[in-house]
Amino acid sequence: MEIKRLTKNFGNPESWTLAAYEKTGGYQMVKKAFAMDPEAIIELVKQSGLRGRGGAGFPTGMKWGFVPKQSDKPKYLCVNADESEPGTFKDRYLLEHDPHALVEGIIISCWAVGIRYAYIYIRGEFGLPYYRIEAAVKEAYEKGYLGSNLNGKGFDLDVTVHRGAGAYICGEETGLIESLEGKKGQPRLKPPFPAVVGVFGCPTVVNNVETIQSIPWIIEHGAEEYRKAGTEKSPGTKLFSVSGHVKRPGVYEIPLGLPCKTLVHDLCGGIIDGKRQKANIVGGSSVPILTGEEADNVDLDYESLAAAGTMLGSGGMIVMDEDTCMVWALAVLLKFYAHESCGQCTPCREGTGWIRNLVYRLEAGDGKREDLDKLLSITGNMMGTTICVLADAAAMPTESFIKKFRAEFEAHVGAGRCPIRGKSAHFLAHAH
Amino acid sequence: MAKVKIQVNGREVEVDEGLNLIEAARIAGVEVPHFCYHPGLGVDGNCRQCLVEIDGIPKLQIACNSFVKDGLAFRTDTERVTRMQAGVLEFLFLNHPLDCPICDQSGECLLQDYYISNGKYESRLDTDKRHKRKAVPVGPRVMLDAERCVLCSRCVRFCDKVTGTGEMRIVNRGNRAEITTYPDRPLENDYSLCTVDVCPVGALTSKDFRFRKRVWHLQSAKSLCTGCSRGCNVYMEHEGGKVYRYRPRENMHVNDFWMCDPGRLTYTPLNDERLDVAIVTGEERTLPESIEQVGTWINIAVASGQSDSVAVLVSPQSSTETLYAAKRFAKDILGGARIGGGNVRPAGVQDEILRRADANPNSKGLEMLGLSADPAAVLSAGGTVLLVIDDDPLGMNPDLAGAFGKFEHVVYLGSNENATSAKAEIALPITPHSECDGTFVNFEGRVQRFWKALTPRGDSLWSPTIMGRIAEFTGQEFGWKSVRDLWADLQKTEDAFAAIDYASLGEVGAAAGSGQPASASAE
Ligand SMILES: Cc1cc2nc3c(=O)[nH]c(=O)nc-3n(C[C@H](O)[C@H](O)[C@H](O)COP(=O)(O)O)c2cc1C
Ligand code: SF4
Ligand code: SF4
Ligand code: SF4
Ligand code: FES
Repeated sequence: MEIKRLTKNFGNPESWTLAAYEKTGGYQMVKKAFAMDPEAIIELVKQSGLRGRGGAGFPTGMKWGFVPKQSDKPKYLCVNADESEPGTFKDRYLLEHDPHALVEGIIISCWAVGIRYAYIYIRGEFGLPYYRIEAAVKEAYEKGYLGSNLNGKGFDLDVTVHRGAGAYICGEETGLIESLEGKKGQPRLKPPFPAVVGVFGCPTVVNNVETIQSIPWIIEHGAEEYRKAGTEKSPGTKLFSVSGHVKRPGVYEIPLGLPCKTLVHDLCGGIIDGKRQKANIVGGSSVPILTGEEADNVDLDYESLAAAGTMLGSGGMIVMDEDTCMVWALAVLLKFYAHESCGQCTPCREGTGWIRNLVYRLEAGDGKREDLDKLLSITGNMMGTTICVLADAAAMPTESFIKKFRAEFEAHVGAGRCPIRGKSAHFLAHAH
Repeated sequence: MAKVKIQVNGREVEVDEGLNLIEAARIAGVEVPHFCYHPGLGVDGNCRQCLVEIDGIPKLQIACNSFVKDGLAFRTDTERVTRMQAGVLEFLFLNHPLDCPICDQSGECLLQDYYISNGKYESRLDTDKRHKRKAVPVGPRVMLDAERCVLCSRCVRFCDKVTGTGEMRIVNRGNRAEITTYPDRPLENDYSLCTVDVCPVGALTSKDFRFRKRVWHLQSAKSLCTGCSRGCNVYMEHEGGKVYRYRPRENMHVNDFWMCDPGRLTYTPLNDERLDVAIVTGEERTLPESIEQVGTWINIAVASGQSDSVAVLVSPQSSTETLYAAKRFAKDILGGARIGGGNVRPAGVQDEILRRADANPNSKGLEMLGLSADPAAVLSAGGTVLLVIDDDPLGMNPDLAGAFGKFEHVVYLGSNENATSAKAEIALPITPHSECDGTFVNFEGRVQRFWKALTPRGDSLWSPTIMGRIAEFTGQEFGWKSVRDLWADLQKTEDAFAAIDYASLGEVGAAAGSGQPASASAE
């Protein structure tokens, strides 16, 4: 059920060191790539069907193809290691256990796209992952994998690890770029897109850690082999970080298209204490929630999840058992989004705070019945109207929670308290 | 720029290619509500108020960041647009204080305007409002109310892009976001009051104007700032015979959308310490008897063949019309008497934005009329009558008192009581640029109009009229009933103005001398 491509080195002794990495064939794919025409590598990545693993699922080869071939400015790669979506912790594992695979992926990607400088923008709260990737980059420089004239034909590449300051919005690619430039992290108006005007005004590729880390495997085994895992439209493997009420939470690398049921009930050992799965947020906190039953009947690939009205997102699966209060769960999520909205777009700045306050009130048992329709109407005004999709990421879950668990919300109003947790002022006390 | 055909709400219009949809709609007579876009500050796309429906694009788009190309069609009048625009407006009101009754912006506030034109929904805002700082002096001339701020970043972009001083910033995230200045770095650049103009709501207000007048009581006239030789275009806003403020008026040839703070505050002499009756040796007199006295002196000088004993001291503060009338008076009535500019204001600050060191609004007009700016030749020999026109030469240069003393009679034509009017034997009230039509020529040679805003105070008269009445005592007359009459003569007799037709000056003026159309002389 699990297929270990990106996680193959996890668990090896000191897997994060250069010595351990080289022992398992590390950095060999750089040599192979240097012998290839850059265009051919982009073509290979297109053939593989690799889609961005940061959340949007954009085809990676196509994204690389948007970068102008000729440019009088240097080109940049920003590796997005800001991983801050609640429920998502797969990049952290990759950085902790196999940082050299990321470095190798960076070298190959930069060679393919003609990139001179790469940044690894890493979430500020990450401690160990930061030390590991920082050390890996240092080792790679010392060994001559990074720096100047890497292929003997004048290919130079410098990699800098940049620590964020702890803002979810700096994971959005243009928020990341602004932050990297030393500005307040807030997304840019598009167009222009980063491929044309990115960091420091130069053409820039932004890719997720897992995306870049897939590249060496594709070079080694080819596109056809890559497609042997996964489905026609969702090829390859994907890392899922599973948390919540499962017996064995953790990071699982599975072929796309695997039934969700297999991941939850087999790999993760099912729900703790044999309870019922009430709900499942399959792709990270920003995607619409599924009921347990829906989750048990869906496959984990881009199309099946879209057909089920949700998204694969970043693969941050949050499983909730029958004792979970859905109003509480939504309040937790909205607390996050209201706090993390960068605040520039009116519907997001005001909408996230508004729906949060309404849900806090409902959670406390002080809500009104009409608040539910009001919430749906507010989320309707938030979606599709902003610079980035954070507003949607707050609105979509809210909408799905209310639509799928409306009775629970109404029960709070009817009882004047949470039927499961009792009277609480937890959130209202923290409303700000 | 290439013209393209587009459709706005089904109506075809022709506009310049590349225009954004807010500007394009404006040409079609359609207002797209917006807060953050400003033609002088560019697109930022943060308010999301300008959502429109573009044919062929499923999602609503922001009009400010969408640009016309041939055949583009968009609508602002669909149910979806109206609903979503109302939604954005509702968000803006969520944490907006209900300050309208005490807010200075009331009456010229975009939130109010759009609420009336688009919103007017039942309020369903029943959660507590966030509180932020109120009545904070962010600089010597500007007050901030952070609760009223819609975070459009116009003020930030003004200080970043126009002045380059960068005082304003939005700090914090989400609905904690707040507009502010840096600690110990107040908003005190020379253009700080422009932030008040660009602020679409009552967050930034002018200390000078605050609480002095409800804006709906104000009337507005197109005018010019007289603070320096730039001649920034302004709206002169007034009520009950009093000017309350200047606001910059767009003129892309001169001042774009801006004006400086010192210039903005130069309106006060239009209200205060006005000379609005004739004064003869310290006593109020009727204008006719005062004029008669002056006319008599002049007539005696002329009749006795001593017209060269009369001298005329003019000012680069005066309108072109005043200067021309004075020149004709010296030439036709006095047969070529001494005339020249005296009271040149000391040089002020010049910057890269608008301010010019030459603090006189009409130095160029003086020069184009061939009048010297050196008072020495005018005053040197003394004589019978010295006519001093406009401003305050004695106040600015008390040393001139000796030269003044060499004339038997000093007559002052001006609009304010000052050192010169006090010293003059006769002071006659003339209308300042708030009370008549006229022109100034700015440092680049652009002839610009100002429009009469107020009825003349007291006995004040247009200076060419007063000079004409004085001339009548010598049996001559000018016959100018209006600026137009005067300009007909001016154009005929002054080569530098030959190519300029007063009627065609329009709102943005025209470049003098060259005979170019207005648009050809942009910087
Ligand atoms: C609010 C927000 C937060 C995001 N956070 C992350 C993140 O932490 N990591 C990430 O890789 N992508 C994140 N993304 C997606 C990025 O914008 C971008 O699509 C991605 O990094 C592209 O890489 P990929 O094509 O390899 O997926 C976020 C997007 C949004 C709107
Ligand atoms: S949607 Fe929210 S987070 Fe994204 S740019 Fe707008 S305000 Fe910022
Ligand atoms: S103070 Fe005014 S101009 Fe500045 S951001 Fe707020 S609303 Fe906009
Ligand atoms: S730059 Fe000159 S003309 Fe313009 S506002 Fe300032 S003083 Fe007045
Ligand atoms: S004017 Fe278009 S988003 Fe503000």
